[in-house]
Amino acid sequence: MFGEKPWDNPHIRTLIGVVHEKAHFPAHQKTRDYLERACRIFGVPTSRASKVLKLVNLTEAADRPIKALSAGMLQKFAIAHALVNSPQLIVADEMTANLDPQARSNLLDLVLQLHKDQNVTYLLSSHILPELSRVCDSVAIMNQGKVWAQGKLADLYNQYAAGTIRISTNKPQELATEIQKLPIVQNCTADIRGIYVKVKTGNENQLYEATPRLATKINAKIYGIETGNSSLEELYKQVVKPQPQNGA
Amino acid sequence: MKNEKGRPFLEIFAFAVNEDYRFPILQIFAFLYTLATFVFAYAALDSSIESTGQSATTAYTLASGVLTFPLYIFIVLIFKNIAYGIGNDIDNGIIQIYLAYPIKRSRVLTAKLLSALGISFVTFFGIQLFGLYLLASGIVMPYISTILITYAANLSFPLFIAGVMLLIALILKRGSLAIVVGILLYFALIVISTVLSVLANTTGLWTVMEVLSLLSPNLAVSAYYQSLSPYHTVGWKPGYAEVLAYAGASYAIVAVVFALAYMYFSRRFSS
Repeated sequence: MFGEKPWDNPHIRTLIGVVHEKAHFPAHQKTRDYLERACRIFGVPTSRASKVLKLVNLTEAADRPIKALSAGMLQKFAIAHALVNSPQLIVADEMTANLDPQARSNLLDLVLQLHKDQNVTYLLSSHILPELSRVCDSVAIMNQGKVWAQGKLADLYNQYAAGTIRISTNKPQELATEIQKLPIVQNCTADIRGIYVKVKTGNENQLYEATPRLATKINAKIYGIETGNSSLEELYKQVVKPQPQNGA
Repeated sequence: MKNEKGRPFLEIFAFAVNEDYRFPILQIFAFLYTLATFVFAYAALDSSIESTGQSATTAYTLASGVLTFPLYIFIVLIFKNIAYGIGNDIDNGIIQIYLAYPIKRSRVLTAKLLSALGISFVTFFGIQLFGLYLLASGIVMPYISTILITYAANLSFPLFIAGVMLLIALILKRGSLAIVVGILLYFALIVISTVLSVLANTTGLWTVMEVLSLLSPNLAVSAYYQSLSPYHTVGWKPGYAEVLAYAGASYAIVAVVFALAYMYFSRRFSS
């Protein structure tokens, strides 16, 4: 990280900020008091505490004890704490995991805003994939400790999702078996939600035409056919096919 | 923004002191007990001089007499500070915050231990030694080595238990479990030590005492000063060099336990 080994490296820690999945701070401390302590630890002026509280819209909570903050405010406070030393990178591990949808959305808006205003890079680790595509430029898809794919989001969609068609049906396994026999099919997988078919470029129409016929043959119902991957979650499934387990 | 040099060690230490001694009820009792040095010292002084005259044995009796009660309070305090100061920081995840600060892990642990052990140590034994000096400088000054070896011998065993508790808190990440294991281990070793001492005195198998003295050199110190008495004719009679060796060995064991804790925290600990 930054050309140095990160383990137990105090210098690296001056360059990064950390936001944990569940923020733990001394509960009885007041928010500004604790941030001022962090300022002294990093050797920055204590006036920085009020500035970072303002950045995350927590000025009104400056004199509240940390235990009086809501879950969403606590995560904002954790971001303020991570911003104290003006880091180049903020590592956020599942920072929205314990929040309700509205709080999650607000927090990600804040991240976007801070990224734009403060020019800080954020490394977000999350299992909640749909929201990530809203804020991420680049992604690394991980599963079982291995990086399966990484790069710009658009590039990954082009690489893994172009030509992929999703078919919703009541008999995914049986229909997938029939579709696999088509010569235009490059790859075909099925799960409880449907079938994911990748065809050779330019052959999508042939699949559209063949699918109803094959469904009729095995007496299956077609609920819908969609072109391309509509979410990061489906991209994840495309990338991590052999062991589609949790992780991102 | 231009970063000046921060002071993470001092801040973490100050914060640890603030947390460890935030509700000082136990500390107030402990402080009062420590002040009771003056009362105990008078009592110990009278009875000791009466029975043995002014000698190294008097100094030993005086020191061990005034040490007894405050030592228990000191033990409770350091166990509490290890389990609920350091252990709770691990339990509730606050340690994650410390590990994100620009400071080596070993220095984080040192700051926490200085608060948990150092402050209690200085408070208790600083006042005690000063009290002893004020009350009985005529005994304390000529026999300062006796006073110091008595204190050192009594402290190594609680420090050993504290080190084990620290290791448990770090490895199992459970402060509450650490204090339970610490208390059980402390009393189990006291009981075992007492039973084996009786056995050794009955059978004359002094090897048992020698082994026990490695963990609790107070046994050797006690045996040595008792053996100086003209009335003491039977029992284990270790030499002064042996006493020093047992004390040194016991602190070496304590150092190993704390070194293991430092190594684990620096190299493997993950919150």
